[in-house]
Amino acid sequence: MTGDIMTSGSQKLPLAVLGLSVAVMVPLPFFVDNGTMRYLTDLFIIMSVAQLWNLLAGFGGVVSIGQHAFVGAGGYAFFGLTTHLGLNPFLSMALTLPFGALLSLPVFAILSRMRVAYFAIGSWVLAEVFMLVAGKLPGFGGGSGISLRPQIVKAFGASTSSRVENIYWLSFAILVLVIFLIILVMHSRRGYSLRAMRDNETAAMALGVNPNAVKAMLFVVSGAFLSLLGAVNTLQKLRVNPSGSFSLTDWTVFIIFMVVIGGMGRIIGPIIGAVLFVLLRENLSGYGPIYMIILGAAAIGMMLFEPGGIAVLVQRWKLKKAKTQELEEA
Amino acid sequence: MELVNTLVQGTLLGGLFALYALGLSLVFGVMRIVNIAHGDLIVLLAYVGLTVTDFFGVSIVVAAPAVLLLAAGAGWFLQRGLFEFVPRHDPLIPLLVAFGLSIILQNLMLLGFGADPQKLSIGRLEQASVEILPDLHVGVFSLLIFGAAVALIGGLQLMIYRTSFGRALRAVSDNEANAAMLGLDTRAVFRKAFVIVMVTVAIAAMLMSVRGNFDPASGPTRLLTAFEAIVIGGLGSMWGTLVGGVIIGIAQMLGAQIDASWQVLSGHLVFLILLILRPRGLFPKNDG
Amino acid sequence: MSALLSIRDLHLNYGQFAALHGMDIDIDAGEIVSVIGANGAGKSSLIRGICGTEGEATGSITLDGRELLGLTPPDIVHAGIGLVPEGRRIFPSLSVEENILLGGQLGQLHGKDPWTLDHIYELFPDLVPKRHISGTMLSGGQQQMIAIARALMTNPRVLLCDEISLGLAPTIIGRLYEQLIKLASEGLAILVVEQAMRKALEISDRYYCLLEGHVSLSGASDEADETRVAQAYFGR
Repeated sequence: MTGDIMTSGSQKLPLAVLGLSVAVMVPLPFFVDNGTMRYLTDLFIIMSVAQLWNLLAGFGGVVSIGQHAFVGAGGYAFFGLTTHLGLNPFLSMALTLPFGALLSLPVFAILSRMRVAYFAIGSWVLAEVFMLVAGKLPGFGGGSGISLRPQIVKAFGASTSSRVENIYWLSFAILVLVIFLIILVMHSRRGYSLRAMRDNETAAMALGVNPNAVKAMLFVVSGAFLSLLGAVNTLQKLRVNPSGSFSLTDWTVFIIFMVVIGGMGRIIGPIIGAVLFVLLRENLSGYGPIYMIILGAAAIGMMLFEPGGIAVLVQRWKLKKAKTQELEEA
Repeated sequence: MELVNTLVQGTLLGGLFALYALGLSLVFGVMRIVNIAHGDLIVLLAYVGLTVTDFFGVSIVVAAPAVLLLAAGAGWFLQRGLFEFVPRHDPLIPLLVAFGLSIILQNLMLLGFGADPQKLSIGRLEQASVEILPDLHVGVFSLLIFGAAVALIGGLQLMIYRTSFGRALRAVSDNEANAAMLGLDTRAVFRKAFVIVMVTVAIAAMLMSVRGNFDPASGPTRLLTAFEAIVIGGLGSMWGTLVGGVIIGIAQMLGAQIDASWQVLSGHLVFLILLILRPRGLFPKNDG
Repeated sequence: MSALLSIRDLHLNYGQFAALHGMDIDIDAGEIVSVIGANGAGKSSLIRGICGTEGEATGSITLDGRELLGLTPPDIVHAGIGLVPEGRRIFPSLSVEENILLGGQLGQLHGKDPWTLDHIYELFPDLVPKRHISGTMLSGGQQQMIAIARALMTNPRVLLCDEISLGLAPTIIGRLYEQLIKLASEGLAILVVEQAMRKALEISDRYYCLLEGHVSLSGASDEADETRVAQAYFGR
């Protein structure tokens, strides 16, 4: 599509930025209060979910409207593994990763039977099924949900403030891992075949790329991490319940808007989108429906006038500025 | 007898689902757009019906022509004012535009009409029933909905296969670029198609609004059932869509027998099972 | 007096790329004019330029004095340009007859009697028994007949035929061209774009040879000197 900043050229710049942010963010809990940390934890989780949607849609050309299925399933799995199977909370959290991967395989197998354009609604139906089934599982509190046992929560920190710190680091580590993985994938051989596929599926097939296998891989990676993020989110919220754990609005609608506005197909896109979203939410959430209407309109506007989102708009603006500077100097 | 009754009720409910689906199917067939906002358009027109009936103090039966006219205008405007500008070379873009539209519509309706469920009434006809078999009573209005679905599908089939506009529609659906190269005014075809789509949406909306409650957030459920009916029937086959709708309707009614909370879930589950068994639908078309 | 279709100084660009640089071509009623040239010489661009389907064109294209440049493709068909496109472009969802009738929806009458299905089937009796099956089920030659029929149904004054011999057996090509000659004798102006040089010269009254986006040679077909045409065709 349009010119790339993150994908073309070397991977050194994004990796350097990633390293720098690690250096800033990791020691941060020693300097800020719990409220700020919670706020940032929220941002990291949202940003990770956005990165994963972008991995599917922006890089893989697969639009899913069912991301909340995996976030919710991960939360429920975490609850089940700790509470019902009595597994160690850390092990349980780690296990949500392979759980998500395993779950996404049959889901992809079913969805990929539909023509490309219908994949989106199909994923939505499946997420709906997940949510309804979650409400019927015995031992999970039915439609109203159930709280995590205190000792499970305490495993992540005896005091509230140590817990907030630990979950902060955990969610930041996941974000870094997700971004690092995406950079790796995009610069691997598969990543190149992916871009070939995104540009032209038939041509990519002629080059020996199997689009379905590549899409399946992306779907499994995203399903695994979404599930892990669902577990972390459960730890934040301290409970699972169908409508909250499987929130279409939080994990899919907002996420899609963030990525579309921030810039699809670029690693920087979801970062811009998530930061902007969290900032706007602070100021506009009181307006409820109007906020949603603005987001929707902004997303449509981006799709019509600059599918590369803010990331490309900024890039354009910089180029323009550099050009005028050159002219002035000349 | 209980079972027969459930099957009959489910079948009639399927007529309503087919009505939801016709417009969605047309938009995809002609424009290759998966209109995520389709369910919200149905609900929007139900609110239009509500507004017109309230404003003039008349029954929806009297107001129907006005609603149909408004819907046709809205269809033209949506195509002319929005979808015409959406690049379709990458299916992602129209999909996400429709997604944005869906969220905008839901929230506009929330602002305008509040979150309370609404319903339209047409008086005695709603409760009237006939005995079609000994001990088997069927609501007249449910029969009317099913009849409307059959009539609308028949009418659309005639339009698509017997009129010059239908010819143009199929040509554009086959290959838009070729049709344009030969001098077919594809933009005009799309505008007319969207007008027809919105008329079907209005018919579905008015019948829905009398049959049960609706609220600003109830669009997605309509979208999903419509989608399921289309996929079960096989893309592009309208009678197949009716069969798909009936299957979902029966599944929902059987589910509701277990427990009200099983109604929607059993519809989805039957859809998924059929998707696994017959990925191309029950009546697939070989049109690539 | 200028010709029925008169093209003057036609340039066509696709973005930065210039496909045609200054082309002059005339076609009169009742004559068959062939446009020959190698791949990339500008034959397809000429067709696209006339039909207004692709690229940015400058210069002038007049049909009976009316400027076509800047009109939309539907208006150009209305004005009296009928296209038999390269690759035939038959719609698979439409029956043979519907494909033909589609043409009737696009054009507009210019004076004479309109084309009807009866006339079409008189011209191409082979299509009659197959009129109700899908257009793409027919052989290549018969599909080409549909494409010509569809263009005729627009009641054109000028018929543009883009590579109609491509992929067809010589006997079928011969029969198709016979029909074109007959149509020209009834007053239709026909522009035939061909890669097959000899065949094109044989059936046309006049020819234009294109090379790299301009006319390298033109004249009466029966006076064409094969070596000179070959030179103009391939470049030196």
